[in-house]
Amino acid sequence: MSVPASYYLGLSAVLFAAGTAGVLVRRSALIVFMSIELMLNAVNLTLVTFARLHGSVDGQVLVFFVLVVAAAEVVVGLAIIVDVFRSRETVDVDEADALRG
Amino acid sequence: MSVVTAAAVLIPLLPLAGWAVLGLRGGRWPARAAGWFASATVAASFAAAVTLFQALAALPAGTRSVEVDVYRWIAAGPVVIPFRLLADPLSAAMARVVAGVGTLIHIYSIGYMAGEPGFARYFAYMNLFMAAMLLLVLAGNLAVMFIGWEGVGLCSYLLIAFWFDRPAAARAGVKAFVVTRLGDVGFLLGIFAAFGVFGTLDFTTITRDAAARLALGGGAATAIALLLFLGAVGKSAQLPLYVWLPDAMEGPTPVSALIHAATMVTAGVYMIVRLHALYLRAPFALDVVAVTGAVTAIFAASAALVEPDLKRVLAYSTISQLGYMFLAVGAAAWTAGMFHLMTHAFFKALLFLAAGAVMHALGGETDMRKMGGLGRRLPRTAAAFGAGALALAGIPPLAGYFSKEQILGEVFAAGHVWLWAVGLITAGLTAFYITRAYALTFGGAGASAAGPVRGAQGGHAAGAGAPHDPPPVMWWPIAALIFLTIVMGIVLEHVIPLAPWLRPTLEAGVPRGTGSGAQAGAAGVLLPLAGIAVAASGIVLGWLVYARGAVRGQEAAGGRPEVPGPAALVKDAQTGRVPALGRLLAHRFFIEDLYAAAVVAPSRALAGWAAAFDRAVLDRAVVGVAGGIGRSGAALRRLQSGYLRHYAAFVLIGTLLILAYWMWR
Amino acid sequence: MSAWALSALIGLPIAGAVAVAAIPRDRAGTARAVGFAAAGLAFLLAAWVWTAFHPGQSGLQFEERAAWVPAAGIGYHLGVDGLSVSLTALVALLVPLAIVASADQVKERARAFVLTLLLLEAGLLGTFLAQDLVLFYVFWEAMLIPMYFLIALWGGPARRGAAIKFLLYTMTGSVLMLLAIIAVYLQGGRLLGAPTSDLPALLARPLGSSPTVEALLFGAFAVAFAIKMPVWPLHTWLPDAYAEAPPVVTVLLAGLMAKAGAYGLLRFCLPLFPDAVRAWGPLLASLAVAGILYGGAVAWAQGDLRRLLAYGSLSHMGFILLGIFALDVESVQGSVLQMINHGVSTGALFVLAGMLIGRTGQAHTNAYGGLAAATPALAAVTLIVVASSLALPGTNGFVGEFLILLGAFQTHPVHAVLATIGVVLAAAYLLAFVGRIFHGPLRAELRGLPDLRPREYAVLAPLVAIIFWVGFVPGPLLDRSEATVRALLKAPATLMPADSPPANTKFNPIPATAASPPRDPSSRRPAVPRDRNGAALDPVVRP
Repeated sequence: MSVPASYYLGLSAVLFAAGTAGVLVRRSALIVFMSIELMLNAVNLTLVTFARLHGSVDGQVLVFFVLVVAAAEVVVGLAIIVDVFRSRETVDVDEADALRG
Repeated sequence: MSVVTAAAVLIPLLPLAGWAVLGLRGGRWPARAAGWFASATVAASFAAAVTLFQALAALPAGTRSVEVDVYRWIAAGPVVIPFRLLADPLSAAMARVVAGVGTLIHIYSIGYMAGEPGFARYFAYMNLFMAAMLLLVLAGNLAVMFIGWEGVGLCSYLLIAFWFDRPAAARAGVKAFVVTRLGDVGFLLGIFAAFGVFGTLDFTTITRDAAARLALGGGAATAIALLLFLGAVGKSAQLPLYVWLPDAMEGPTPVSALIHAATMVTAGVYMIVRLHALYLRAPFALDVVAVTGAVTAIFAASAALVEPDLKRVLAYSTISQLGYMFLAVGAAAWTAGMFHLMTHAFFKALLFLAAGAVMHALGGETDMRKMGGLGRRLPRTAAAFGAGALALAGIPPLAGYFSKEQILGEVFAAGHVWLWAVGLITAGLTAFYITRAYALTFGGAGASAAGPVRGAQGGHAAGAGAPHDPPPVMWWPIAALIFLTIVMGIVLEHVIPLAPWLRPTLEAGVPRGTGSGAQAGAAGVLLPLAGIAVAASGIVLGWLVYARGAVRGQEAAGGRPEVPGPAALVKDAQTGRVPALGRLLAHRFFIEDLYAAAVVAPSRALAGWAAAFDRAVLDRAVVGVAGGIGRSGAALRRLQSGYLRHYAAFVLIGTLLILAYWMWR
Repeated sequence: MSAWALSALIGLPIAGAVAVAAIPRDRAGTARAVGFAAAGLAFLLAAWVWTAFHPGQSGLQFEERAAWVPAAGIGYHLGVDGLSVSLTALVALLVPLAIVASADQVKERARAFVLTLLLLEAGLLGTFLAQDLVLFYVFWEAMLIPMYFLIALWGGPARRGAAIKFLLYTMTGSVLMLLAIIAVYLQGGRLLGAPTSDLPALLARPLGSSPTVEALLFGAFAVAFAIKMPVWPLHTWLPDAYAEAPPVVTVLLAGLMAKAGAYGLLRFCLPLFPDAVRAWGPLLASLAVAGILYGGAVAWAQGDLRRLLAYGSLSHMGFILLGIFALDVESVQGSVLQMINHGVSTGALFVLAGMLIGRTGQAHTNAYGGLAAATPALAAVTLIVVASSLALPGTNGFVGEFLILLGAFQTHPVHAVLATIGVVLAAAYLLAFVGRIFHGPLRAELRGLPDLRPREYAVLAPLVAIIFWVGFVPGPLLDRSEATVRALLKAPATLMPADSPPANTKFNPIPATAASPPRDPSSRRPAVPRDRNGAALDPVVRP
């Protein structure tokens, strides 16, 4: 039995939208971070789907790139969050508005 | 290298070397050494000039014009200007006079400037002036002449402002430079236009080609002639650019004698004679020259009638005599113009040096109202001034008589009867005002009211005690000039006549012989008689009014005598009112006031406005643009809320917009 | 040696800067000595290049080529021709003099000052030597940065504003120029089949842009260069920058950087956009005349001596611009010469201003008076330099302005007449400058000011020597630029021997263009306007 590609794409779109909404509305930096991961994985799912669909490995290779970058990003991002927490005693992103013009 | 070449190069080079040596080392020399050194360089230059003259005289008449290319000076595209000197009868004669008078005045200065701080500086400037003036005289093209032309202007500025710590002197120097520069604009444009026509600036080529390249009376000829004449008007202090010369009397008196009487101011006349072939193609320009000269002559002579300052009287006299020279060259009487230029150099230098001796005796006083009776205390000075005055008035057999009569005769012969009449009246006025100056200074019985007053001019010592005749180092140059004043008229008219000597130069490039011979017939006898009569009556009148009046005036007023004079000219003792004519003359027909109101003040205001405009409009426009960008930035910065979600939303919106564009484009 | 002379010339100041950076911060004297040594060596090298330059050739000499971004056709291409050879020498002369003069005038952070000056020198030299559009742009911007710091760190009280104004103003022009460079690059690539930013390659044949495009490109270049010169009315950064920068820096700003603008007009605008030059030349000549009169008038009304000299400089740059757009050989020759003259005389004027301000701490002329009595030598040198600025014959200024006005009179008589009036204005404001500072009674507080010191003599002596040397013997300078200017204006070479292509073309990155090096001027476009010897275009004045 094979699931049609459109299902995968639909799921991917849902995941991406959920991630986006999470980035936009949540205040906790950790949740925002997880939402970003969600978005990345939504894209990964899309890439794999198309790779399968077109019988090419390019998409799968790209997924590896994304995974590696995401891992690096998690390391840096969590370090920043820890640092922000140390200086501000909170991980609320709305409190970190030093860039306000 | 032939004698001519060597002499022509050495004549300007020697004073230039003197300048360089004095400018670099002169300050460390003993004062007199600098003076004698400077005089020696000019004397050597004079010797070179005499050598040049003799060498040219030894050549056949037709080959007396020698061009000396020193080196290639400027070459750019079609413009090729060699550093070229031209040794011909005209320049040799002029160089001899300039270097000769210059030598005498240098020697005189050693006495006059003794004890001045800046003694070496003075002689360095004087040497530089001589170099520039001689270069002007010997120039072989207009560009080289312009070196000398501007060089003498610079030296004039430096020497007028020699006592730079006196604001009046500094101002007078700037005024002289800027006003003559105004004329130089015309001169430069004339050079450009001449280059456009001839493709070269060489005098010989211009003289040769003038008839071929310029239509008689055509626009080009007239334009070039008038533009160059504008330069002459500035340099030679003619109407309307004469205003700097009276103020230039702020400089040391030997400077006034050398630069502002004998040499530099005559450069305009010399230039026109040099370019006579070009001027002959522009009869209208010649008429302008003649009328300018005549009007200036009578105008300046009338201004001299009421001037109370001895040196300024001589300054107006110089302006007036220069007017005569322009009247002569305007009537195409080249020889007469050059003749008067030379005799004037002698007798006006003599008058100035005598005036300098008076100032030397009085500690720098120049106000004739404070003088009188000096004839007894300074007998030799009085005699010298008297000789100069008689020559200026045109009494035979002194030098001025011959040249002035030649000018008036030629003008009459050329058919300019009205200009001749103006010249004749001016001759009467000249005799009158110079008699007045003599009478007020030397005449009368009373002792000079002025004791040794220090300070009006520099710090030269008046000597202890009563005024006395000048020391030998000042007297001998005066004596030499007295001699020249007495004999040079006869010499240049009869012994070694100027006219045949200059003929090779003046007839080059002139198709038809413009007669410069003596007037024939009845006019030839009557005109000189009329001139003598006018001059004599001017002297007698002046003597009657002032010599006797000076005595009376001093007795009457006791303390500070007013200048006596005809009722139309002087302040009424009772009412204190000055008659209209007197006021008009004393204010030189208000020309200077007109300048101040119509030229100087508006230019200054314009400059002020431009400066304000620069700050208030141009700068503000630029700063305004920058400010506008800054304000738009301030408006946009509100988008930078600092909230992460806002930024994320912008990214999302942007992505969606791009997607929408790709889908529905 | 000639194969790498120009790279060495740019490299020497950079090496000097590195060496200076290695010196401990507190040893200012050593830093100055090292900096002077580097700049002095660069000067010797530049003097050698100037001497070894063959005057008769119009093309590039001492050429160097190396690949830089071969794929994009961007090369490292240096060379000198008649336009740049004397300017290069001028740069190399003025910078060491400025380092010497700074010893008395810049005491704070002297090491960094010398370092920045050397970097500026490298930028300036590169600007005058680059023969590749992109390389030129890099150097053009590179000289901006040190200059910004020189104004912003060592300037007067309002230095920050002045420096930012200067930077933004010039950057605006630079951006426009960058756009134009890209456009020319693309157009040239389309034309030649291979992309190239090599200037001689681009000049090989007409760009073939439409008149509108050409006018726009010309305008973009011209605005950039006009800001740099500056040309009225784009000059408003000048009084602030000139007055706020330390006088030693103003020497370089007025003496050298302003020349980059005029040089750019000659190097790029004239050959690249001949039709636009013909169309817009009269406008630029009018702006030049406006600048001459306006600058002179405003200078006359200034009280601050640096602002007076700044506006005077604006007025003098107007003459250079007028000469360029009078477009005949003698006037362009006059402009090329006047660039050197203006660098020397305006440079010397600001050196003198720095000496005055260094003695009294006052910049307003009201604070001076009668100084000739206290400092006669300073007064004498000032007079000589002022004479040069006044274009008195016998000084360098005369030869340049005379040729400019003489040439302009033949093509643009009205402009020339108005510009000649500027000569009177120059007399008015410069003599006012001399009068207010040196004449009149000596003010009590100025009594006892020291006269010129040996070091100051050493700075001024070469400048005074050049003033007289060029005034009487301009030949060596004029000869060096004659052939190039003739080729630029397509005027027939009559005086000079025929062009011969330079020998040392070592390496050429672009095969397509290497086949026909475009150095023969006769293969260039029939270009710029006027040929004085050809009768066809004769103007009204010449019968």
